[in-house]
Amino acid sequence: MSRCQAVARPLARQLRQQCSIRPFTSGAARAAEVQQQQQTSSSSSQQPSPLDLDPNSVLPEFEAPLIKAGKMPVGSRRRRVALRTTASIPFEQLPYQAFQEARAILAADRQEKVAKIREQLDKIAALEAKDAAQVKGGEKMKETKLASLRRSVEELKILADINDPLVKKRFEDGLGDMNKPIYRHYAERKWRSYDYRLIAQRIKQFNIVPDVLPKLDPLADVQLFFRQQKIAPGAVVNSLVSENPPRLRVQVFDAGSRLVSLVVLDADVPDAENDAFSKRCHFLAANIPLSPNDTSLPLSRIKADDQLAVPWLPPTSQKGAPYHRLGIFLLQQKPGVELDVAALKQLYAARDGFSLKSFRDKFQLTPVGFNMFRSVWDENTAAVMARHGIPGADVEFRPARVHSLKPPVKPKGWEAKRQGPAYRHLWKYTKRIKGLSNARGWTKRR
Amino acid sequence: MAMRFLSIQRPLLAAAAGISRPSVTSSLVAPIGAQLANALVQGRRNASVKAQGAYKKKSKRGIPNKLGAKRTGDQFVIPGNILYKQRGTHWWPGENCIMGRDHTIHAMATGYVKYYRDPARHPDRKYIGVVFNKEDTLPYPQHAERKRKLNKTVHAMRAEAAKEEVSPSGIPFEVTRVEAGEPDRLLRLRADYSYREDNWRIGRLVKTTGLKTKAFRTRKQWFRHRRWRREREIAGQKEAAKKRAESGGGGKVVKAISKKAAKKAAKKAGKKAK
Amino acid sequence: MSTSTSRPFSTTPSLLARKLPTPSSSSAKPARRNRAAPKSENFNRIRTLRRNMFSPAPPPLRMARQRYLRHWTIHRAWMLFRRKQHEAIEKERSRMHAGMFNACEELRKTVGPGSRGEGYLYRVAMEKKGIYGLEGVPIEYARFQTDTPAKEAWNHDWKR
Repeated sequence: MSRCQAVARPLARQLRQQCSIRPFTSGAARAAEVQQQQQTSSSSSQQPSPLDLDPNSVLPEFEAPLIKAGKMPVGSRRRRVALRTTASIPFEQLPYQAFQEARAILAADRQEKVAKIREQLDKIAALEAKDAAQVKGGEKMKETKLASLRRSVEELKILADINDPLVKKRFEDGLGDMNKPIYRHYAERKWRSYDYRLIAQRIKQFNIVPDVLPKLDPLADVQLFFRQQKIAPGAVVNSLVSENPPRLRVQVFDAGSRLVSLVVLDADVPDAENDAFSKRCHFLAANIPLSPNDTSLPLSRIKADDQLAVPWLPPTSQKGAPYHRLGIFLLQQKPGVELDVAALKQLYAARDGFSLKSFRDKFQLTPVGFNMFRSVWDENTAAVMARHGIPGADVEFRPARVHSLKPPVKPKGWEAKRQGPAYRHLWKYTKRIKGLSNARGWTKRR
Repeated sequence: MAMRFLSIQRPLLAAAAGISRPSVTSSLVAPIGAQLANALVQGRRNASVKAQGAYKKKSKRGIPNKLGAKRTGDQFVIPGNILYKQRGTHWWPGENCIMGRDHTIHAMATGYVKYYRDPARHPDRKYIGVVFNKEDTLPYPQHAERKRKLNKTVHAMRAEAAKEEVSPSGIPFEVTRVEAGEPDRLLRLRADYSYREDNWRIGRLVKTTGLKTKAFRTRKQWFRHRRWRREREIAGQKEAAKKRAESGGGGKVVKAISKKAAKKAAKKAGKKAK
Repeated sequence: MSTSTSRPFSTTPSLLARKLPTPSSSSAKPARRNRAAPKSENFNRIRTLRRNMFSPAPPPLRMARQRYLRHWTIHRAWMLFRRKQHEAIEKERSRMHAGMFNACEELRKTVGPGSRGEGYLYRVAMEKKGIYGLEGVPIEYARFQTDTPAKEAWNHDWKR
């Protein structure tokens, strides 16, 4: 339909109605109208409209075919009839009195908050224009005041929008724009309510804090995906699954773009010579840009020369060794400082003996995100090790024997006295007695 | 003490003297009361007098010999050694130690015993720990890496023994039963030479039957059904009550009456009629 | 409405249709002995308490998406309203308190009247002699102090 036609159509309809010929007797006309309506209604009862195909608004007479098609009607019949007529009203205009009153109150509050923001911004501008010498307390006090004003503006921005039902709805639908402070605030609140606590618990119970870093308080949400599957923090991952690098979903809750380094570290590499554990770097990349809006961070996509320092090494565990903790650490770089990846390559090409603490100190990084998984020896590990040329698939660890501190005691008793060849005729009574001895010799300790 | 004892016993002594005075010359044997008095005066106690306890009480301080430290500080221990036996928790397990069911503290590593306090962990608990080096002191610095030992030895991996198809008696370990229209069943040889399916495999069969265990598809349906059922029940009960009221005449339940009472009632009725 | 009326347009089950208690039908519960008997003044309160105190808590609210959002909006607005109200009351009260404080301070600083020294007026103003009657005690202290005092402190109309 052309635009001109579309404009003309309602006009034409009106004209048609007006032009319909009316006989003198209005009663007859009314009767005819009623008849027409009946006809249309009966025809509608036979022909389901598109609304009748929707389980949200199906009429009672069209329920049966819909149920047969496997779609159960939603809600009560009354609700469905109501929805047929009110589906087109936008949410904020729904005619509920209390709701509209509430919206009026909230809108007034929002106006107040916006006015306050404007006021604070004016104050900031005035303070910035002012010379530091004229401010009481000098340059330092001016900076402090500016910071506090800016903080209050950020808070007010959140407070202005926090009562908006549509903002809440948009966030719950995952459509929130993370560049706006209110959505970041909602996201952070949600993360703090569960995921942050879970990660904090994992850091504590897996002793990440004294073992890898002396202090670690995550500020960003890091989720771990292997093969499109989310891995719960600390879960044991099959070595075949973790052969390929994972994908991270990183959500930061403060505005702006920043550069981060990414380290995957195995904190439990067994060191049999020293009877101890050492650490190994499984992945190292730097200068990765992150912002609240782009959250996906697939490790396999990090290939650039100025980013990737140490490529992915599949985590493996030798047989009999205790589980390996693979920690994924996100370290924020100083603003505007890029790390020299060539130097990193040189430093950490040998992955063994990597110390995250020294890495952090050397390049002045701050850890912001953490996640972890575990790896143990399983049926696929040997194959993975063979594919990637990792040695150690042919040995296993067994618990070290601990010998008793007590001196050995000579076996005592009637049987013990008669073990020698002189008592060969009694051997069937003195050898291989349950609880005392077996074919290999005397078993009873004391 | 003796003086006080005497003064307490004075009436008794006087009585004894009064009794014994007339027979001072005649009787050689003093009466029992006098004997008793004499014994008391001299601080002796005969077997006929029951002790009052105090000297039998044992000291309440101190612990039985079986309890207490079994290993001293800096002594070498191996895993499982008992370091301290106690009733209650006078001592707590620290580094490389665990507490048993009866609060006994055991070593969990090979090393040297240290008795210490750790205010960062708890302000007033005493801990027993085991360190790997004798020179180390507990507690370790708070943010330092934990000291751990692998405690494993490296061995060449043993090749797994190939599983035999046929048992020593010449019959196969596993048999598959195939029947038309049924899933294949794997039967295995048991210790009693019978072939039987694994129990967990039998459990899996439930899914193949297509049995419906839940009668209601949704929670809402179930609640609606329950509501309707209850309404029906209540309606039925009311109906029944109504019927009973109509048939029984004013809802009075006819009481079961004994013969005697019935006779009495009949008599009464007869009188009234007259 | 008699019990025999048919209810052709009603969709609620017949059980829910309220029926007046008919005196003819024999009921298991005996009727209240004397409806006209004078009720205690707290009758309504006691009845409400009896009904609600031992009844199970109502189920949690279950709402669909949009309705929940509307509910949430109203709830937020109500909380905001309440907070603003409280703040306004608080502000007014502190204003009044500050005014009183300033007046007293002014009194304390004044000298006089006549040969009186500084702060005489203040001391006199602070005296509470005779304001509860001669040798009187505030009426609040003439009764037991309780955690849940009555709405009316004293029933002045009470007669033996």
